[in-house]
Amino acid sequence: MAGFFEPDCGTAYYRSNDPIKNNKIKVTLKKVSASFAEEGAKPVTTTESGVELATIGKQKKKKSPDHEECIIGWQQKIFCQREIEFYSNKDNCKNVLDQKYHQEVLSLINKRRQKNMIFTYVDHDPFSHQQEGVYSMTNLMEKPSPLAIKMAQVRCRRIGGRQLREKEQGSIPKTLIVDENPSEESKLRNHLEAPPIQVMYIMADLSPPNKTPDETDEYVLCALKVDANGVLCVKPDYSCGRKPYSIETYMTREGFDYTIENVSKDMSRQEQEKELRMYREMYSRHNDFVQSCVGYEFEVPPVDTLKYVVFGEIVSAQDFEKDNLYIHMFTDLPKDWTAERSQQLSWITQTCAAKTVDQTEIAYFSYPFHFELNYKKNQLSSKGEYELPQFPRLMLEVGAFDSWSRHYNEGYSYLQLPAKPGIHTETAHCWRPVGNSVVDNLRRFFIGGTPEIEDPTYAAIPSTFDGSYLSKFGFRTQSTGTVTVRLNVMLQSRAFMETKANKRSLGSLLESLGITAMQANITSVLEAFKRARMKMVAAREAATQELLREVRPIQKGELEE
Amino acid sequence: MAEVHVIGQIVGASGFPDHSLFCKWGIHSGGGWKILSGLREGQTQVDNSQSHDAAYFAHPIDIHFATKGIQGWPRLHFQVWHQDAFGRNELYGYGFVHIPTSPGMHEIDCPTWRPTGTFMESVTQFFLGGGPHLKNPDLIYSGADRYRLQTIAMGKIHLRIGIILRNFDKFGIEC
Repeated sequence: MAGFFEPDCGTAYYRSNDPIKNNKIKVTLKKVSASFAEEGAKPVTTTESGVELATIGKQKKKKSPDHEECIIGWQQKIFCQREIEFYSNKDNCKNVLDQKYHQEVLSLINKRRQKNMIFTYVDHDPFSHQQEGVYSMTNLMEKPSPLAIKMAQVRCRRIGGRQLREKEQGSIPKTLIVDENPSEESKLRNHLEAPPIQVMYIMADLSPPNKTPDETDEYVLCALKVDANGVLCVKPDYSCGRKPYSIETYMTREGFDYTIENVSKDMSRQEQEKELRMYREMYSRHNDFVQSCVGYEFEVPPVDTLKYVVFGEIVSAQDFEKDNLYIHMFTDLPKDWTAERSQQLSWITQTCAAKTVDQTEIAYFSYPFHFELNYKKNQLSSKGEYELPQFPRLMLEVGAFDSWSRHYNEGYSYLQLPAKPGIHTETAHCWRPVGNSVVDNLRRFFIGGTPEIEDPTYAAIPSTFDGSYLSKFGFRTQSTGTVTVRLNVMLQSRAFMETKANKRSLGSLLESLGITAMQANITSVLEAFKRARMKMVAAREAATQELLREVRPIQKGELEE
Repeated sequence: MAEVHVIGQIVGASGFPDHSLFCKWGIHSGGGWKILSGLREGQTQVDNSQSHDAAYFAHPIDIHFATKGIQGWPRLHFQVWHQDAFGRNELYGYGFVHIPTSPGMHEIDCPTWRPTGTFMESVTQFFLGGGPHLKNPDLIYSGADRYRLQTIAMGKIHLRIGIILRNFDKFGIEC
């Protein structure tokens, strides 16, 4: 009896990408009363001699069948007796749905079918709306809150179709993005997050055969709910081989057992494979298309050179004395560094008036610059020992130029270009040369003009410097403000490509771990072989020793005999 | 054959003299760069913040580039405009920043500047609005003729950009 355990009456959730209309459910309903008990059996009569046994004669044709089986598709409407009687009366039909039912019911009556027990309520029936639980969560006479009432009205019952596509793609209307007067319905709908759902109830009409059917005789066998994401809730779950569920009617205390099976047609294996292949083909085609857009070539630097690329901007300058600042910047290349002829290596920004932010005067430039340099180690000129390459520098000169055409030199500084690739925000602190006498200061104040340095690279290491000890003693300066520069640095070289190709990534590491295991196996086999061979050789030796021992050494005279 | 993904947003702008700002942005890249998907330029909504000093746009930037070389790395340029109560639009600043070259998430502040005219022009600007614009907006992202410009510093644009690079290490680029 394995597999026949107690049915779990909870809700089960299934996911499917297939359209819901392919769903088919088989319901079997069976009455579990004693088979010989009939309704309307004659009461037991007592006579003097005892109780007379009732005759179990031929049973009359049952008015209600004992066993019913039904295959129901999604949203397939099956009428129960009560509904047939209700809708056949034209006065009860008030709206379009009722009219439609009326037509169907009339055609059913003409066919004179037997009364059936299993019927369904579909999505648009009034039962579905009430049973939803939107009105009351508990069975007591709970008054639904205003929130529950409003939410109940908004449940949109369309799955798939326009609403789903809208949610996925986010339609942006070309005009009238803002809705000035939203209607009540659209207001409520926009507050909702739940996707639209569709429900269906499989019911059983378990009224005894003589009684006119009533709503209290209707019992829910199974409630199905599908939402827009393809999630199907089945309550209770499919009874896949488990014991059937049981219902006991309220009035007549009769027991019924029912099972629910899923008999939707599965996609055949062939079709599944076809679908899988189609998806794979689609993805690989898209991949190829994107690859062809991108192309396969890429620019690589020449052999043995390091390409040093910088994309940067001069961001700002702050805390300088004068206003209307501009910055003049150029690169200083050490030996072994070259640049192309057309490469611009000197830049001048616009003149910017500063603004006051948090008690500092700051001028924004947002000045873009970019350059590419090549480093190639000149083998001939190396001194024999390995020298670290010296990276280039950016020399800065800040000037001020005001509306009366007075020009002030506001400072010099330099930035060492970083050797590490990445994003660097560098600040350079500036100083300006100060003359020796008061006259220089007066001149600067009134008419502008300051001492400037002759060699623009003096701020860093002067290009004329060749010795081993740099001393700038005696040069008088005054500190001025700071300049902020943001640099994006990239390095490119063929050497990196080779190390990348040789470097083992994690995937190949794992593979090589496998290989060493294989190698270990091979070596162990070889070891075993070697041992066996040794054993064989030893055995052979022993055997030959034995033989030799038994055989006497040949005497001198024996051979001749 | 290398690809660059730029996924991020223009968070907002701050430090401008008045509220009610909107931002026009664009990405300019070199000749060897191709845009596989995404919009190359756009304009944010007009944001009028009452309590903060900053305007928040939260405007998405989502672009996929394919490239054959490093030259012409894409650049972002901005124009911040102010819309006043009468519906007039006034330029508040030009800004520029390179797209970062290293992968990861970057928070960037892009400062902006505005061209100034003569003294009389700044007086009329104070009362009536308006002001000089650049004749050629390409000047924002090229440095060529900037020495002729006279500008004044304005506010900052805040960006949060994430960069994903693909196949750059195959061609020996360290970034």
